[in-house]
Amino acid sequence: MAEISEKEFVALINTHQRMVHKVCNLYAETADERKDLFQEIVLQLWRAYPTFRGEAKFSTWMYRIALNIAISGWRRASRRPAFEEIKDRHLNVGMNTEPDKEEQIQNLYKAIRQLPEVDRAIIMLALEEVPYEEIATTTGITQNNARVRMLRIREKLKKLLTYGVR
Amino acid sequence: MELDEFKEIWKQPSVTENSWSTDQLHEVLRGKSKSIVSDIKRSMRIEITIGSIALLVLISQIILLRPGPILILMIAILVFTLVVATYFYFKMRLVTNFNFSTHNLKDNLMDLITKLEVFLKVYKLGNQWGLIVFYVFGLTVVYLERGADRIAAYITSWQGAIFIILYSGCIIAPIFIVDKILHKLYGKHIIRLKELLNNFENPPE
Repeated sequence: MAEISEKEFVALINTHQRMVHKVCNLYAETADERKDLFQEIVLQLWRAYPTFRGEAKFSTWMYRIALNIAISGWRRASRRPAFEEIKDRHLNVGMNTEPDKEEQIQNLYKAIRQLPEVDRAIIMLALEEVPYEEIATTTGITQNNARVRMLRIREKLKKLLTYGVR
Repeated sequence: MELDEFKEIWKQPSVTENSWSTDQLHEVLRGKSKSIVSDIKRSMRIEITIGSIALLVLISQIILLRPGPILILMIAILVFTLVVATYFYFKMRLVTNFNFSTHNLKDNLMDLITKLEVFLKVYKLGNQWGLIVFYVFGLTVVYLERGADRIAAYITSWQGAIFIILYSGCIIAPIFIVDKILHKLYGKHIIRLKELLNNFENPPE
């Protein structure tokens, strides 16, 4: 892949950052953890970008790294706050969601967070309308396994959302 | 609720999906990673710095020494340290060159576990054997300096016994302390990663 400037990379992340936030919402509990994880994913994407060959879609490549970091590469803050120099000044661009809709989204996030980490990745990809073939390639499980697991995940989510999310 | 309904909810924007400004994103790129691999890189850099200082001190001592058995021993220590440090450095590079973009989730997890286990094994063995070798080297230096007769007399005295106990303690304690620290820093993480890997094959009910 041709070299990319920091400016171009930031523009690219800017257009896809919602997806990274969704990963953070599924793997981090608190706002601070989400912020930490978001920063870690963006930083690793930047470091790995020279290895992006463009064979897969940018979003597929991004999912893989983001989920890899969220699942195995990242440890929750326990010893020291990271990126403390970056102040919390989110912009809330275009986030005029209605309260009941917001509650629905948060309940869905909470329900998904109660699933095992691998299942969270599978359901996230499915919700993003990623085909089973790509889910299998991204996760490393077979397509058949992905389908079977999705059935179970759907049942679990239904139960969690029907009987309430902790 | 069906999958399509979940998808509808999923597509809605949420306040927890705060957009970061381009300025903030630029700042992130200049930030410090806190991934497990970056943690190892950082600790390696500190160890290399401390090791280099220790080696310089050792070399400066060697230069001041007169030719004799102690000089030969010190040179042997220097060569041993350099060989072990080189081996350690190349083994550690396996871990620090880890790239999160290369594999799918499962293969990435397997690769990370393997590399972290190698890292832990090399680190633990290096620590244990390094300390034991230096213990023996230390005693040999004393032997060469004082001679067998004086050493025998010294060891049987109470000061000598205390010295031997303290000296042994200084060698044995770090072995256990380092093992504990390594388990806390990386061992626990490896256990969690193994559980996750198991979840790929056998999803929990």
